[in-house]
Amino acid sequence: MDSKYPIRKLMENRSEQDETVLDQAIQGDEAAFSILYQENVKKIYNYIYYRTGNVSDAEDLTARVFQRALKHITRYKKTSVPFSAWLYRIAHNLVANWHRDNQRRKEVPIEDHIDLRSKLDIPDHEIEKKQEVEGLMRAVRKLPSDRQMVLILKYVEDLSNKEIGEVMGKSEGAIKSLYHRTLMDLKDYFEVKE
Amino acid sequence: MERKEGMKVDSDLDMNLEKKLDGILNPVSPRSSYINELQNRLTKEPEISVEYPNYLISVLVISSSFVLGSLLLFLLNRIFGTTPKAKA
Repeated sequence: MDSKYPIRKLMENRSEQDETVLDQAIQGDEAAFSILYQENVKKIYNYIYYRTGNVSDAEDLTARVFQRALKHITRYKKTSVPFSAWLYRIAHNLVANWHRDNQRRKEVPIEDHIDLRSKLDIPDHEIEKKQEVEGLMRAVRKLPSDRQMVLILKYVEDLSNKEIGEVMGKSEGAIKSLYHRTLMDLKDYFEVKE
Repeated sequence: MERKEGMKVDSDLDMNLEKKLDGILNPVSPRSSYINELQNRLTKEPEISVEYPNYLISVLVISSSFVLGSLLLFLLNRIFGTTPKAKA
């Protein structure tokens, strides 16, 4: 019967492998932790990058997330929640501390990393588009942290509401509602601006 | 706009906003050198060797200095030393 569903079988095997790797990592196996690191580092980096808005802080905080995870992995309690949720929680706390410590620091727009040509070479409509993007990013970064997390997980990680709910410890309905309110807030921001 | 199951929002919302968000919130790739360096830092033991002081050498040096010093004092005392002689 299983042979009729090779994809399902593959996914089951994959899930079993993940469980084994996680068990080994919890027992202090560094090679297993290394696999978990490879599976999650880009997700965590992306989350932190969009929350902080610059590469250097994203790299610094991502390193701290995994250092903290390695330090405490033996105390990790396995649940139905994916392992990445635990890493996101660590990242969320570190980003919150980072914002608290850097409240007075000058903000660097997230688009600054893009290697843009001189403004003189850019047509007016492209400058307008860039300003619009900057405005939207500023609006996103003014949202409460849970709303920013929903947007990042939905658009950057391409997760479904159910998956986002698992990561954030909320129901699918709660995420749908939170997403709806987030869009309304962003829409209000632009209406007020206009 | 519908990206995945359950993501449909009310039709009265501005669909342009979702398109804009979809356009700007894209995955970014960290530097591969950074990923490798961090992995090495996390999983490889730092190569640090601790050198403890060799107390035996210290004891030998101090004791031999003490013996040589005593011997020197003894010889100097024998050569230049004056012993009080009783007057005849």
